[in-house]
Amino acid sequence: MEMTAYTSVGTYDARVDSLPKATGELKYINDMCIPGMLHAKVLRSTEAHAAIVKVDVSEALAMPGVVAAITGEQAGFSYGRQIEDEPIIARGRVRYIGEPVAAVAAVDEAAAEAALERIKVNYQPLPAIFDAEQAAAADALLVHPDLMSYKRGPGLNPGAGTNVCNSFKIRRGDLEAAFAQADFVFEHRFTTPPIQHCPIETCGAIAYSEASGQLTVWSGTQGPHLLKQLLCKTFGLPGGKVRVIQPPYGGGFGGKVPMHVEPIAVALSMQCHMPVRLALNREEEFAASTVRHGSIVRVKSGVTKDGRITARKVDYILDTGAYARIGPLVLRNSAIAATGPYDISNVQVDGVCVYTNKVPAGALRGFGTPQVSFAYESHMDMIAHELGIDPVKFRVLNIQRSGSINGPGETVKDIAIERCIEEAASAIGWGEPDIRSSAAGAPYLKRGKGVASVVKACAGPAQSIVVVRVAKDSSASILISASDMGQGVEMVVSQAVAETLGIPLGGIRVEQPDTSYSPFDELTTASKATFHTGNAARSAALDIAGQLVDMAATELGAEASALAYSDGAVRSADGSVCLRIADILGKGRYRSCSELLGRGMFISDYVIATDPETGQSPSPVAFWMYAAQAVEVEVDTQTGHVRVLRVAAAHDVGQAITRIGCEQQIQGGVVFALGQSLWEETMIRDGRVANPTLLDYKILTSADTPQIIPIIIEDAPHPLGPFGAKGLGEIVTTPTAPAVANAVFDATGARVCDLPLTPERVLGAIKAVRNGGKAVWAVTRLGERASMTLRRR
Amino acid sequence: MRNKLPAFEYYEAHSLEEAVMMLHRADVLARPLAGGTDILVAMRMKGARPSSVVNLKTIPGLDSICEGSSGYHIGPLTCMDSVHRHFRGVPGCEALAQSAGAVGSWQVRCRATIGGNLCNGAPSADTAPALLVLGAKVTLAGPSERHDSLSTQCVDLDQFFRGPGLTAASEGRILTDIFIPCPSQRLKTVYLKHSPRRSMDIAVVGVCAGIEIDEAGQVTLARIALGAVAPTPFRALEAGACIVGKQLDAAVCAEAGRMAGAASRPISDVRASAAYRREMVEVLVARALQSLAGQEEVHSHDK
Amino acid sequence: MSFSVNGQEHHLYVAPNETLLDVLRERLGLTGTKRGCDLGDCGACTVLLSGQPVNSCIVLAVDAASKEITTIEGLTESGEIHPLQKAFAEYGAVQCGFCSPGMILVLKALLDTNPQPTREQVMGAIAGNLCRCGGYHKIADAALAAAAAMNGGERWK
Repeated sequence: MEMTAYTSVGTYDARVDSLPKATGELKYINDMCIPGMLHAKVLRSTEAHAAIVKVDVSEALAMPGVVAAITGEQAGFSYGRQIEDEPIIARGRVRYIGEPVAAVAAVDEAAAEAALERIKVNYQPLPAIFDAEQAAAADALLVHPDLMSYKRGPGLNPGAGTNVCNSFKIRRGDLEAAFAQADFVFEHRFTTPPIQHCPIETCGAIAYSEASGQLTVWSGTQGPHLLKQLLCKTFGLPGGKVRVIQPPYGGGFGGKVPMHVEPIAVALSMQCHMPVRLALNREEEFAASTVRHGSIVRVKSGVTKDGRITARKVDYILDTGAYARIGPLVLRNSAIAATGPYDISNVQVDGVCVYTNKVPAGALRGFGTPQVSFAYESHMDMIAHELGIDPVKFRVLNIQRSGSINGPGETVKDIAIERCIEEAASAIGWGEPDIRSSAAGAPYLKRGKGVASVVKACAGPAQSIVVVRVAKDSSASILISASDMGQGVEMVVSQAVAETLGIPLGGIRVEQPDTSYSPFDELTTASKATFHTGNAARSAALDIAGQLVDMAATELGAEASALAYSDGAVRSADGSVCLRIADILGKGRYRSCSELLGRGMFISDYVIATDPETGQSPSPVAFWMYAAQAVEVEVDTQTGHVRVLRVAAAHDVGQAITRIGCEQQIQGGVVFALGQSLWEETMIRDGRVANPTLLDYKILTSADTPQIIPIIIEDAPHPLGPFGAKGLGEIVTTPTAPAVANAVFDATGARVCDLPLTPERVLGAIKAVRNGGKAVWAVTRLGERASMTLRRR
Repeated sequence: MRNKLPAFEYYEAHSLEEAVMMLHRADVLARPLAGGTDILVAMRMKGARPSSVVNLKTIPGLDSICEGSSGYHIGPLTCMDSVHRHFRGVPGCEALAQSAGAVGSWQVRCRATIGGNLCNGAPSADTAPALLVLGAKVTLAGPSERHDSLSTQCVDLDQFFRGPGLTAASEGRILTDIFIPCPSQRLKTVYLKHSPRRSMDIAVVGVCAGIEIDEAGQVTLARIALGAVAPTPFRALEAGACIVGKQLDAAVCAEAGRMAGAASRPISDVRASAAYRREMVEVLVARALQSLAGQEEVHSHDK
Repeated sequence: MSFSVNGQEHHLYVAPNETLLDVLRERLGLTGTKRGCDLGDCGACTVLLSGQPVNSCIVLAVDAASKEITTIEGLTESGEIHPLQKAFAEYGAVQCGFCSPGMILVLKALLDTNPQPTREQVMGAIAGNLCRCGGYHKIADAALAAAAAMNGGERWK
């Protein structure tokens, strides 16, 4: 393919934001301190489901150092972006262990903690429901009996008299006929547990409601503008009175999507008109913030004897816990990706998102796709095994190519998934003679390889605006409201501006988002920032370039149309004119002009809503991301311990902008997802999180990290992406778990259909194979068997 | 969990006598402080509220390792990192080095002490099985009957553990010395820790084995000790006894594993089920013995 | 109590239940030492106590009396950025950056005792420092590059 020569985009330059972090000088949200600041603590429910008879904070308020205390009755508001089902502090009823029941603000944390012990709460326990499948049943106990009376957003389908807060369906082709004609039909069931974001910095915010009516909130939030909108709506404040400042914060992964700590801090500050900080401790971060939706997914495929998939049906349940939060959208996002990156003519998807009495679920890196991809990519391998086809060949045989129609009905183009599969597989020596056992030869260690290929959407539509100020010394300041939580958007917009204007990267500063002057961006989620904010940054720089051309034309008395901006200067076609920024600003007619202001906007306004009956749309999303990963593992067949030896991760990024950033996101995303493949699980026992520490909730350490080979595929630039770029952050976490499960199967013949692949679970599956010959069973921790059927015609 | 540690009185002891006096003068809720890596977590997370804390690290001479003619005296305040480095490569004491090196992270090992690891009374204490296999004896100091002087006693380590969180030191006595008799020239030991992560983890099962084999290949001494599979770390005596006098082939190792498994009394918790723990004892005991017999390299990610 | 932080003597009245982390952050304003879990499980609060890496959240402040403490702020000597800090920025070892100060201090302790570590030794040394953004390898790249630079050799990738 033809390579475009860029000077900044796609280079291996170091990220502009790193040094102040490495020196410890950067102040994060929880490092901030405002004079007079109070510290808030939240009293949390000890009941999974109960009526609140009484909450008495009077003794707490009388404690020394305590300035404010609120209960649900006083806080008084319900919020929820999709469904307004969640009170800031529980009112009348608690629906999960960890739900706020009261909050206090005091002069220090010790006083606040002491005050919590003086709050009296009387509960009247109610029966609770924890199992998502039971919650989805017709006659289930209801978590929200008044569900239909809540205000909700457009396009949602809650079920009256049920726990279903939203359902979503896709219909294309004639599914039943296709199943009837298929040579084989396979159906399998999979589950994934609720998992955690585990940002190394916990959620935190400071709110200051001044008596004069101004509200300022500092928050480590992934959406300062959305947070402002939600605070205005929740507290009935006009936009002009609310300002949200987003200081740097230590990791997001979806867990800092507004809002959860902020409204309590605001409600307390409104009572005392002093700045109030609320920062979660690690246990609260685990037990009372947000998790990824646990899932139960059934996948059924009709296949011809030569390996073409002709029909696929996916039925699944997402467990959203006690409140909907963003669950209804997670449901939609998983549904449109649920049939995978395959070209299948007849598809049907039915998903429901249900309430249970557990910690609420929300956005978490992948937004519904890791759950369905674990299912469909394990299912793909199970089919390949039954048909005796190589798993890589089976995928390539069915993969989408330009012109294929995907699940929600879009005709896809500019995709490089086939190359991703081939590159990933080849990087770990797929098809080469295997060394089946460890080099040292221990007979109980078995090696195997697995692959998975996946797709994820950046849903959209979304709007990003960027403002760029360029000074006569070619330095620039960029204003964005996309939030850099470590993923590198500051570097992306810096490079987009440096590339477009031909100015040095070292002279560019990106300002922290502040809704009082930073232009609009709703949220930094969905892997959308490079695509949307990057595009807007490029436009803003082009706006500056246009102004420079006009100024040069005026100065020279030439036609603007005869000039163009390229390679850092305004030039004429014949080369006689070459004016750099410093030759225009501060010179001649513009001698008093020191700085220009450019603005750029990008809206993915081409997104067309899916049909409510069929889930189909010619343009359902802003863009698609594709990836394939191949994994080699070594399984200790006596202990069930899985050691991942290496991971090759091939990603269709369109065009790498920050090359080092792409590698960071790929390596980091793989480590993130390996934890979820092997060990990560929020263990909820009778509604209580039983492992709320980083010791018992096990993310990968450096000592467990295998070789990771990032493969950046730039074969298929996106026609609308900035410089051809697509998104990357979330898709990395999507193929890893099924690739690991497939590699474990390859090594041992044991299939595990439930995440994570803990030693105990893997050993159970290995023993089941040993005892039952060919039968492949997934054994859950509780020892119950997941269903698996195989029907041959 | 608490953001702030609860308030307590703080004392620094400058001698054993002072420490014992402080622990007894205060009420029963006084707690000795060594590395602090367990007690601070217990205060924050598990509701521990000692009325007073007596820092033992200010007592001189309790944090070093002395090698005498009869064996090693390990000061109870020696940190895990020092224990690990000291015993690495010392014949017979390999398991002690391995187990000290298997504790937490480097940061934790620089702080956590070997005495704290024992006195905390955790069934999963990493160094306990190794010390049991090495036949360690511990010296305890407590008040004399008339509370006017120190009384010390020396007990075998297998008499030291009483139950989860309970040891012979629990009631105001202080561990003052850990003694390991000189291992014989023939002794070989190994510690296998089974945990999901290679570092920063608690043992799901900890297995230590030590054997001596004569020129004819017969086992002349065998000791097996287990962690995290009973209310206390303990020695699986019968499993050890059953291999003495035999050649260590695969069948003998497996039989010892089965006997050790049968001697275990594990519980189910978030880390593993009881059945899995028992099975891992069988696997790892057999594996440990085979590795000591030189038949097979050990394949544990935490050796 | 008195103790020395980054070469500066401090004399403070400290309550027994204050941790070293509490005192560094809240009393001395040294917020480069991060609070990640307060339970010794994540390593974000790592400082050097008499040259050894410790989790300052599980060290009582009184227990650090008359000791020497090094925090991330102490690595930047007279305006000169430490080679580890430089390498972290250059080799992509930093993402959100919240784990970086703790990582850098552990690696300083490693390089102080072992100036030419292997990649495996580096990965072992930082096993108590959790990172959720990155993949650890770029941190090892940076550490090895810094080691090479400090030994006067060429940097290598």
